[in-house]
Amino acid sequence: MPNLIYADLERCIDCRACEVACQREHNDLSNMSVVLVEDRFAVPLSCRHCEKAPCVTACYTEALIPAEDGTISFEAAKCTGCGLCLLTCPFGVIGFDWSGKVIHNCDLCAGRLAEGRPPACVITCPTQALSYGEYEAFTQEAKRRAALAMVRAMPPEATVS
Amino acid sequence: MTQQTLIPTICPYCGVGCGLYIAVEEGRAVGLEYMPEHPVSEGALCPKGNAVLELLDHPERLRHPMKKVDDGWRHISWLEALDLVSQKIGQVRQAYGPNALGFLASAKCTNEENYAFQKLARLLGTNNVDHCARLCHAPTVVGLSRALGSGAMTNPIPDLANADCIFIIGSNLAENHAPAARWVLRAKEKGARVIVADPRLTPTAWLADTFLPLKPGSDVALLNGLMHIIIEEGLTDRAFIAQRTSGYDELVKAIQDYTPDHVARITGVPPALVVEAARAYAKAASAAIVYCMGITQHTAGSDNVAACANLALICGQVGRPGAGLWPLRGQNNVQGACDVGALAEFYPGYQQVNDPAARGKFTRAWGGELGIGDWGLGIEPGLTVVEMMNAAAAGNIKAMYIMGEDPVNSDPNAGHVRQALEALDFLVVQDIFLTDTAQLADVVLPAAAWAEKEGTFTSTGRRVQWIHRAIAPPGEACDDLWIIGQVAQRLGFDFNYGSAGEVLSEINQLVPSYGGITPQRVAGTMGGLVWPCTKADHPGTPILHAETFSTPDGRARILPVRYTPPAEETSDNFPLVLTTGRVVVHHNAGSMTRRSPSLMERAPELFVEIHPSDAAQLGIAEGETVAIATARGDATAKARITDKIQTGAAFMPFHFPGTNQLTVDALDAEAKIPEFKVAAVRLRPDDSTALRLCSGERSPQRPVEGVSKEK
Repeated sequence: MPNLIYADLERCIDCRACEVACQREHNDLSNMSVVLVEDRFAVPLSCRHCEKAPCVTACYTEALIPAEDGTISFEAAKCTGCGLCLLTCPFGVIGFDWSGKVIHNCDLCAGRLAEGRPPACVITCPTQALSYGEYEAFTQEAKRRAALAMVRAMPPEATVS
Repeated sequence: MTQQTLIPTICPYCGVGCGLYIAVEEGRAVGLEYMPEHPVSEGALCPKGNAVLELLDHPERLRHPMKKVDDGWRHISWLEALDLVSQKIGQVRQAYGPNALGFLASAKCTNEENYAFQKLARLLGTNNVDHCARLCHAPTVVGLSRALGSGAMTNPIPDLANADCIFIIGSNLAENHAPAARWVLRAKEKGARVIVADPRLTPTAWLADTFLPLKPGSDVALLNGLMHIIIEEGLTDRAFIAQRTSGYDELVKAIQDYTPDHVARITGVPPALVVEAARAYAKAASAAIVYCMGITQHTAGSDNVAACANLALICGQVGRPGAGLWPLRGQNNVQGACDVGALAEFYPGYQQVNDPAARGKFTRAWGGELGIGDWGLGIEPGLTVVEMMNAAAAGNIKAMYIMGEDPVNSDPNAGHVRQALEALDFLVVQDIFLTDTAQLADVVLPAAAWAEKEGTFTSTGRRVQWIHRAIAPPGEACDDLWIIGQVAQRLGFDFNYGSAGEVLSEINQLVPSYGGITPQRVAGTMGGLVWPCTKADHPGTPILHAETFSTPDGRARILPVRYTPPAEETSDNFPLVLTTGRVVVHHNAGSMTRRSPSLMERAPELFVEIHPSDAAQLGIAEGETVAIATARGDATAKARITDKIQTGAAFMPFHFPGTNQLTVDALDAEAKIPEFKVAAVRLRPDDSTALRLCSGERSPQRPVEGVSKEK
């Protein structure tokens, strides 16, 4: 899997800085959506760059294709604006640019990454709910947190101090 | 390729004081870059911070001085505008005396501008100079000064990471100071316990291990209840109480009645949760209290602050890393505006205007008997924000000079404010947009936005940071310091400041805690300097009260307070309690964020939150327009039906005109803050809604996902 943007739902506070940052970075079109669930949780959603991407399968002009690094790349010149990719995306994160009559999607801030800067949504995130990197790093961190929570839930005398 | 320069600056929105860079190309701001090396924000920005460039070169920016004429506005020259303003101020002063003048300074402007502005007011012979700090944290200035000797945040925001317990009461920091949430989470990662007390289940409450859903205005009862348990269970810090405080015995007596059951009846918080929170706070090795306007914006605001201080003091939770009081202040420079004397009762550096020694000091510093105006410096404390409006309405204040404030939207009982300003003989407003207040002015002066000038902002953590000028103001707009200087010179004062640096040097001389924060030092230091910083080689003081308190005898004062109900109680006619607050994509009165497209599209209109059971009873449906009425005024808003708010309560953000038509202008007796947080209201479906829906009008709504709760 390529390096991707991961979200820690325990940390997201629904501030939507990532949405505004993405919009600013991408000509007023945001590829990030924070979805509020029951006024209790917020879930930041953006392109997962799927290994078996339904949007790529649906795109008959090959405007959306898997790149060498494993991400899904998008070539606006080939896009007809048919919208099939929007319909197939299981996360609903592909957007439509009404001025250009083409779709828009998360490019992981390729320009920023090339200059050694993290994606805008990641660096702007006030709570560090978003991170960018290998999935192993994310799952490793999730395991560490879960383990820590379990240890803290144990009675004090059972822990090694 | 054209050359791009990154100019370091500080976000102009809240008091956290996040750093960022503005990318400038050929004199235009073309982009924003994050600042990972900043000690507080570490590169983070909230949505407002990400949208700051939308304010520069905005089509609605004021670009010319304007004069009101019969059929609207006429552009006038700076020469004409400045002559007119100074003549009118001079005439009113001559005819009615200096106290017929009122000045509102600005928590959005720099320290240097606020210093010059209050100096102008005082040289004219009046202390009627105040600003919106009165509306957010006046009780902090009063309450913490009395208890600890200093009315400011005791520890830096990043120090929250060192706390083992964080008690957040009356602060929705996840929305209003979002980057502060990073430091709460960093403490949590290390195992800290987070307690949140709020009438609403806010995103801040999501971070809590223990959530205390108290009724609006019942804070003193809750805080006294916590102390009751702590004392009862012997969890106080006896050594700290004995060595560093006075007044403990009176407190013990005063809180005897605040048993968990009694507290539960007043606050609505289950007794078991009060006990749980009390133990967690008192037993923590280091514990933080974070509070904001949920504590201060009450007629009991000063009492609320005193109760917070008492809790910290009896547990010895002040003056160490991770232990202290964090009043989060709302504006980029509200701390600084207070520090440099934009308050009716204080000269710069909280030196009392009714102290003859202080008056003598400032008389000498500002040019002696000859240099200052022929009235001398005012002897009595001036009128505060709300008092000024009352005086204007009563005809006692005849002319006002308002810099970067929008009281028509920010003050309570807005209808009354409008009448007051309309009753003035002369009103001059200096701002970057034609706000609702500016609409009422006789003369409007176009000012520079933060990125178009230089000077210092002081963050809520007492961090004084330099802002560099990135671009030029649009049109003929000028920076506030120049405008104030021009008006002052025309009124006969020797105001010859060539730069913000010169003003800061004067502040260095007159405000001891700013003594070492010289222009050279602060402009070249990432993250600035934290006051008190008394000498040029002083490193700054991130943590206050480490050894001794700033009171005359060095001891903190424990000042017992009793619960008093809010000024306005519900009735058959007004059966619900309205509380007000903020949402993450808007800022205060909204004159900036409501003009920012990327923020407006995310929160386009005024809404009112109510509980599903109240909504059902009132026949109000989600998204429907609701008419809201209080004894003072009425407003309409879209209904948001949610169980994040308790039954019997309603919530409205105050970023849109309307909310403050409803709020109460009853004041805290000492701090003079109005009770924005509690008003008795009546809600009903707006009759005109059905008509509008028939005509096909749809409101943009953010899709909210529901999860079915199948058992």
